[in-house]
Amino acid sequence: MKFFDNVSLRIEKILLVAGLVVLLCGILCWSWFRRFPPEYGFWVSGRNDDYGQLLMQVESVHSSRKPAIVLVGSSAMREAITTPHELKQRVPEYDWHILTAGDLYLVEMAQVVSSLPRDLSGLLLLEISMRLLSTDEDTTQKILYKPRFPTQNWLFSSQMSWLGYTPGMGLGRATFYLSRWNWHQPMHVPNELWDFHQVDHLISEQTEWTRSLAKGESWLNDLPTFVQDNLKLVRMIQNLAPPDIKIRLVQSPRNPQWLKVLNEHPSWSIYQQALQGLEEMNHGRIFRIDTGVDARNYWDHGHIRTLTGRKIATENLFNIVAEAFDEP
Amino acid sequence: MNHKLLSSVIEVVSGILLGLLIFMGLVSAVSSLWYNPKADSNEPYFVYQGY
Repeated sequence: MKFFDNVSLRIEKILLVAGLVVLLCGILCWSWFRRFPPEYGFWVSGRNDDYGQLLMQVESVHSSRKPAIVLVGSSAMREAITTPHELKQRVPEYDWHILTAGDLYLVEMAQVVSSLPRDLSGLLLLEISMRLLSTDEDTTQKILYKPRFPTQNWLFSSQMSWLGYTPGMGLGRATFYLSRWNWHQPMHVPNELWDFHQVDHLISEQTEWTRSLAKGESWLNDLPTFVQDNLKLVRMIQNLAPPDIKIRLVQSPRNPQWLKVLNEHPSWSIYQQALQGLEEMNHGRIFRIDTGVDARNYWDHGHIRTLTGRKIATENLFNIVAEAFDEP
Repeated sequence: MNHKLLSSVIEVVSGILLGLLIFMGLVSAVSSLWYNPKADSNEPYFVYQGY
């Protein structure tokens, strides 16, 4: 033991080595993750990994000779469409991009829109709904800190700061990869299949309808407090869009039976005023994708489940596109 | 082995171990920043059937 008495350790040297190890591990890890670009379907970790799929779709948007039609919204918009293949087949003169994820919030729509190529032209269809206009500030701030969609570019962060929110730490990409990393099989990168129509695989429950009504009521209760903040976010999304793209708002599909119950709520008129305000601001009407879809075609308050319902909604989408391109 | 060499070996090994520990801590801290979409989702993503 006397031998070790003469051993002296320098803490600064240990810290220097530790720092170098951290740096080296970081570089190695990052270069390994970057070998599997999400654009090619890597990092989609399951059949309902909407945000993995959304990143893949966003990264595959490139400007081309064809005008693009970009639909940004929640799962309700996606479930209303028959298939992306049908869109491309029926109207091949446009590049179709369906950018949706379950429960997508306005702040996430802003993240998606700000990630589009700046030279993209065509039509940008943005979802608008009671849920989106009643989102509380805390949820928006929480998503900024803990993003589900990884990209938060400088333009997006600066606009969010301007609106009074604290931007995230810029670790969205790292959290996105690490949350999908399989710790048990570190060399296995997720590359799973994903379902376009997810409600087709859900069991209908009696309690779902009660839950749907409760959700609607809670959105309407929150609406008067948060509507102005959310309208500012809508304006911000429009400012973040590529300059040469035409923007139109589309209302989320909603079960008419659900609307019938909720339109007696005291805040219903506030929602209608908000929509009217958006129409005035945009000098154009807010389109509806669910015209003619009756209650039998819905799984809950907003997800269309039948082929008939989806066919009607898809026809409506084609009409919206035609009308939007005809407008000045 | 002289004392100087032993000190250097201990310093480097400790540095590597400390570095790995810090790196793993950073990785788990960053992973926890992920916002779990299922945690307080408004959407009906419950149990999948039929696979």
